[in-house]
Amino acid sequence: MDLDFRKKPGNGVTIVDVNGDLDLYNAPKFKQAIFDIVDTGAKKVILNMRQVTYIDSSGLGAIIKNLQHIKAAGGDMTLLELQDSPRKVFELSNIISLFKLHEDETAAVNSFN
Amino acid sequence: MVVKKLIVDEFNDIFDTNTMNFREFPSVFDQIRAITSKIIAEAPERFKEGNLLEQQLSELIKNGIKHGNKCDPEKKIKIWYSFKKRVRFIVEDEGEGFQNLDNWNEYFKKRQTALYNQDFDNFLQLAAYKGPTSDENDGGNSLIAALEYWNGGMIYSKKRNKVGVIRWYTGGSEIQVF
Repeated sequence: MDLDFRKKPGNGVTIVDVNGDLDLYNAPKFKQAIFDIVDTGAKKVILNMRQVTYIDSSGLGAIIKNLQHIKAAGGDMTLLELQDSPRKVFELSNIISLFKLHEDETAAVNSFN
Repeated sequence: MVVKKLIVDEFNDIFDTNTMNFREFPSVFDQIRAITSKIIAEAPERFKEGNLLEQQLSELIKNGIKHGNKCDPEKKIKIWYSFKKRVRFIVEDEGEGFQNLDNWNEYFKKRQTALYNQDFDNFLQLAAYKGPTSDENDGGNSLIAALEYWNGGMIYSKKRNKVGVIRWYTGGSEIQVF
């Protein structure tokens, strides 16, 4: 799994492009990486899930912990382009209502304004 | 509000292994997804639903290897499976069993109540909850998704170290075309 971080100039939004499986092997590294950017000041985070086709309960747990951490820091997190299989796992786990979902990057960025 | 629960039924037909295929593996954490892939490779495409079947089986195997057998490679994870008309799995480990099952049912009831009441702060807290045997890397949501996904039942043996699950794709009936 790879993570790329893009800062949108001007509005303080950080977009995290997630590439690969968010599974029991990658989830700890993923969770820590998001904690680290929040701890260094990122308060508006978009997780770009376009390249994530597999997520399990460990991946879900990491995303929930990240959301908790960002909210505790006074920020928020949205999900961009959640794919079909991962979306089904969110729905089955009954946690999809916790997240703001977007299909368009500009709309996701503007949702923080 | 309807809340599902995990149940124990030692003598349920779900544990009838007659006509099922069987494989067993040493309990190696790094092999959880590889073991899952070997079983899923035998499933018909129409049952896979993208990678949802793989993901759900992986959770059952992870529970057995990690929580049941404590990743002891000397202990085996046993898997019975059948793909005849529907998906059936029985996964058994050599551990002490899921002793917190009743507590988990209570936790799930609280979580669903928070969701029903749209108490999202409480719901987020509960969604991030870890059980007494969970570590920092456990998701805590696998059983919730499993209860929804295994629409033909999810039942534990009396010792609670064996779980049987069924997923139907046709609502239990097949369409005949004349």
